[in-house]
Amino acid sequence: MKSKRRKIFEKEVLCHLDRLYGYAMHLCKNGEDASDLVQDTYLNALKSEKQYSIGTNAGAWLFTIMRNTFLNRIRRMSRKPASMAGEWIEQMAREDISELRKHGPDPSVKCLDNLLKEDISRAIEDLPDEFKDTVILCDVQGFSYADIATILDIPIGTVRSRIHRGRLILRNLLADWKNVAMGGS
Amino acid sequence: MTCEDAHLNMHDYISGELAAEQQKPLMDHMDECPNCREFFRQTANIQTSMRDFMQYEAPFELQTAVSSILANA
Repeated sequence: MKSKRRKIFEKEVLCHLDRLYGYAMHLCKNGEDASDLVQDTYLNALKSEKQYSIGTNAGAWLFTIMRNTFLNRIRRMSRKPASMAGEWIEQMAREDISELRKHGPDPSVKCLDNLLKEDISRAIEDLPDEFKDTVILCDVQGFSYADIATILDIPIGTVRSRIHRGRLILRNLLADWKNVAMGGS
Repeated sequence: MTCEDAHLNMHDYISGELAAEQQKPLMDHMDECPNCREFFRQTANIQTSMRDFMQYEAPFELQTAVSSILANA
């Protein structure tokens, strides 16, 4: 017979299944590995059940477990996570911020309406991992900066900075492709 | 408010992180600045598209497996 606490715990963790699968797809890039990661995450959550306080933030707790489970899996496989930001893409964000300081936001890009799923997916994939993680956790998963700081184990100021710069890079990537597609130079 | 301040604040606003007392100055600036207003519209549009397009539903087999993990623990 399950305790009342256990029943509530199961309800609180189970409602995050779709979101966890979405984040696992982002981390693993394929459905089979993503499903394995989700199951390992729930197994690890059960092992740590006593550390969770009922009625608190189950989403952030589970995403933290998933990320640690994923990183441990990579370490076991002796694989390094994908590389940090390439210089060109860092430069892209720096130039954008520099231009912004001089002239204010450039609204000249008028072609960012009617975005397609393929455009968004491709632009996200081209983001360096540290920007990708923060942007996905914020803009797709809807976590607060504080939750993202907990999940990624980084300072909240870094979360904020990565979200700002990550969105700028995304916007520039989308604008470049759209401009080319529309015959711009 | 400068355009640079507005730009930083609009990211926090889109994230739902901008303090209430900072929201009115941002809105006042965007009322007066078409450039920032358009930049905000585009950035918010990208975020909405991401949220709409990047949602997943766990496959039925995974739902069953996770339910089983929780039931048998």
